[in-house]
Amino acid sequence: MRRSKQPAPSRTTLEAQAERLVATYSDMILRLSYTYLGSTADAEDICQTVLLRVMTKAPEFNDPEHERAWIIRTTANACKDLLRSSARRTTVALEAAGEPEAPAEPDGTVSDAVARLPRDQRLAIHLHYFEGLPVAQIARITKASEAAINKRLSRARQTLRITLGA
Amino acid sequence: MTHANDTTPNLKEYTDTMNDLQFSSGVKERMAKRLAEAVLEAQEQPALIVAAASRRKRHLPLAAAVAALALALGLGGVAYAAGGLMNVPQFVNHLFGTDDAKVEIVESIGRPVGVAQSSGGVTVSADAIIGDKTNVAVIFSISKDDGTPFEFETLENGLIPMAFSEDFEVSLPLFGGYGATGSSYFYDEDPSDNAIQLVETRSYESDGDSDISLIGRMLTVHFSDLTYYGESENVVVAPGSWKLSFPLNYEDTSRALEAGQNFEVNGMPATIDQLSISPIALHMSYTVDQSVGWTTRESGKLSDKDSTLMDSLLGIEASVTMKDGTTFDVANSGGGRIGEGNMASCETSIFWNRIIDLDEVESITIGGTTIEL
Repeated sequence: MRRSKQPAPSRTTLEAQAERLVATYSDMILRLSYTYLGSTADAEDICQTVLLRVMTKAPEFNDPEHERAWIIRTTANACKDLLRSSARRTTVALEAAGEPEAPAEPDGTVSDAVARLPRDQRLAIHLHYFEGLPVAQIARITKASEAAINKRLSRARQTLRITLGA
Repeated sequence: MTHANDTTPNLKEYTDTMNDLQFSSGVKERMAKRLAEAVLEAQEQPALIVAAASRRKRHLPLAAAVAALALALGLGGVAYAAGGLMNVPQFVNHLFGTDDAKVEIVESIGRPVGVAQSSGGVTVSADAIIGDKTNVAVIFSISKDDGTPFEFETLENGLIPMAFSEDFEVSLPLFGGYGATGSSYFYDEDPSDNAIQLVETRSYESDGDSDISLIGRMLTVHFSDLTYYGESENVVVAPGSWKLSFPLNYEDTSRALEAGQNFEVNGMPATIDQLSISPIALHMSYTVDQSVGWTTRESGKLSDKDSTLMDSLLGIEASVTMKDGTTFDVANSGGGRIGEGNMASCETSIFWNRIIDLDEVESITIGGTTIEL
């Protein structure tokens, strides 16, 4: 077995890159993971996982939008992986007492209503109305058709109108 | 478009509260430090990439006993043009044992290369490539500039026990960081001429990113010191350095199929995350309900138990049914990548044992689950 690799970046370079990524994307990842998981308990782990991937596995990005889209998609995948983990709930319960504080979760009538939407609908709402992504891009990120995303948005809006009495 | 009966509720409160959802500055500082440390640690202990090509029963006529390779990707380089000795149909025939593949398919999956470099009286030329989004095979001819034939003893399987030295590298710059598994072997297409052939195959990880593609990228190979591995000693038969760059400019023939199906791999329940096929190979990512944690990753060697588990997780069997009712089976006997965790995240490619016309495929059955095309 043989292995070769690129020259390793210096510690200073890595620290600067890590600081930039955390400053630019950590809150976006936190909000997206909260939207996906319905909790902020795992947000720091998700953030660490995603940004580590950016630093070790990401392709060269064409521009900041390309980087942002890649990170959004990787965050969604990381959340999905976490949900698939059968041991997740047990792990969280056992480690909760010793874990650092998770960010306070949003509290508000509309936020609560969004949080009660089915996962695929609240993800579509968040990516479209908060992150400002067009339907086509959401479709690529979530590996769904544009028609499916439009339907999710429509159903979500309908539910929210009923829930909020709009 | 928003219809009159589909108005958007007032989401200002939602966006306001989401804007307030932030990590504290202390947490961000901690994360940045941990992140840099994690990358430094990862550089010292690269992630385990499974390379089991030596155990892989691929249906390439001469690929059964090839060397295993696992690589992380390096730097680019330059080369200059010259003639190639093997053309695409010859390469297809060599890899798949067929000379009657549809011309239009051969022309879409393969390209002549014709890039060469000489060093120390030996010319290395990249003759032809065959590939799809995640798999690529390259055939090189290594020829003596004085016109005399190489005279090496071949193994019983027809291969020549040779390799370039350890600073061999294959680089796809824009693929930086993505791992690959593959094979590498030497043989002699025509013992009477002054050349021998090297075949390199690589299956790259997409790591769940369906947008990742080899197509259009530059492939750079860097060989040095051609070495013959004799029974009693290893002999550098051609000291030198050869660096060739060429584009992977074949057509994108990969076709993504619907994913999400449950199936079984060696009795373990699994779910297909991504699935694509091309005329030359199947590529799939899947999650197996099986906890994985390699206990010997520091040494890079696996225990027998882990090795058995790895083979089981990657032991995908597939059956392809064509529209004319014929079927053929393929199996992966080891090559691929497995992510550690409570659920095993796996990715592998399986080369077909023939060139297939995707328009003629009726369905593919993987681990008991049939996917209609």
